[in-house]
Amino acid sequence: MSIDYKGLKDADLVTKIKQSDNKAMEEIVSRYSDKVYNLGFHLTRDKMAAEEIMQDVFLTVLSKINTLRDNAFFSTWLYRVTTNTAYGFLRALSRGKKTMDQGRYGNMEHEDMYAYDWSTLPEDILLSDESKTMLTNAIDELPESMRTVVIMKDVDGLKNEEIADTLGLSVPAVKSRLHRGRLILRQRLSIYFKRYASSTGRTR
Amino acid sequence: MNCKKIIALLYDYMDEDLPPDLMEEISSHLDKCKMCKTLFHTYSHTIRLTNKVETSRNVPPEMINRLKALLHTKLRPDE
Repeated sequence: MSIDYKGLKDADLVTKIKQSDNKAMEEIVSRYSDKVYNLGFHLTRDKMAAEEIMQDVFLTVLSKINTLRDNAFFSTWLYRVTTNTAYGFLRALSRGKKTMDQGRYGNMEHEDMYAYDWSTLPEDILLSDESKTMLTNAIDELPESMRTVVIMKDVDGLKNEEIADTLGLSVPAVKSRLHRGRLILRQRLSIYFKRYASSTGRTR
Repeated sequence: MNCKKIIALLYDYMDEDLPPDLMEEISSHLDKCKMCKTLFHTYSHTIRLTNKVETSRNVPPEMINRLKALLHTKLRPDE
């Protein structure tokens, strides 16, 4: 009787991987390679590093799967392995640069906080290649503590609880970092779109 | 309700994770305060754009093949 691996839950696949079932491992690779690769890429901004991270992560899955006690937590565990592997790469590349002074954003200028309502700009302006590039760079330049949670939540769509588990933080700490990160990105976008709007005469 | 408090509560307000009276208080402040309304709009758009800008890419098939080949060297042979 053949097993429908695609129909199995992660936890069941993990049980099978623990019993050295190669097909179960292949199914896990199909399910998660995009996620692992993207997280690795987002954290390192380096395609080659992302591929190596992905390879390392799945090798770790093979060698360390028995250390995962509750199979139901596989995806959280996998994210943690990916994050740790990516941090290892960043350290090795000594790219774990401190990018911004966090304190600077603790007390943002009141006026600037509220500047200009760019949310009504047309979609093609909001999502232009230039604005996307600008936002990508702004995400890159976030302090690492905020960058990771912004990527996990707003890019990869993880739940706060999963992020907290993965990073060993409390949920309130995740929310706080996320909120501060979003405020910084919002500020960068406001400056960018305001400049755009002034140059095209959109701001009266 | 003052504007500074709005900044602090914005996250939970967006998630509707506040007591109903506080939700109400913030909503009515947003109706009256143009600055905070702008903050609210641009904050939620920031989330939306962040979500769009880094849309996940698929791993190229060659890369998957390399991964599978690598894993294959580590897998136990099928019985």
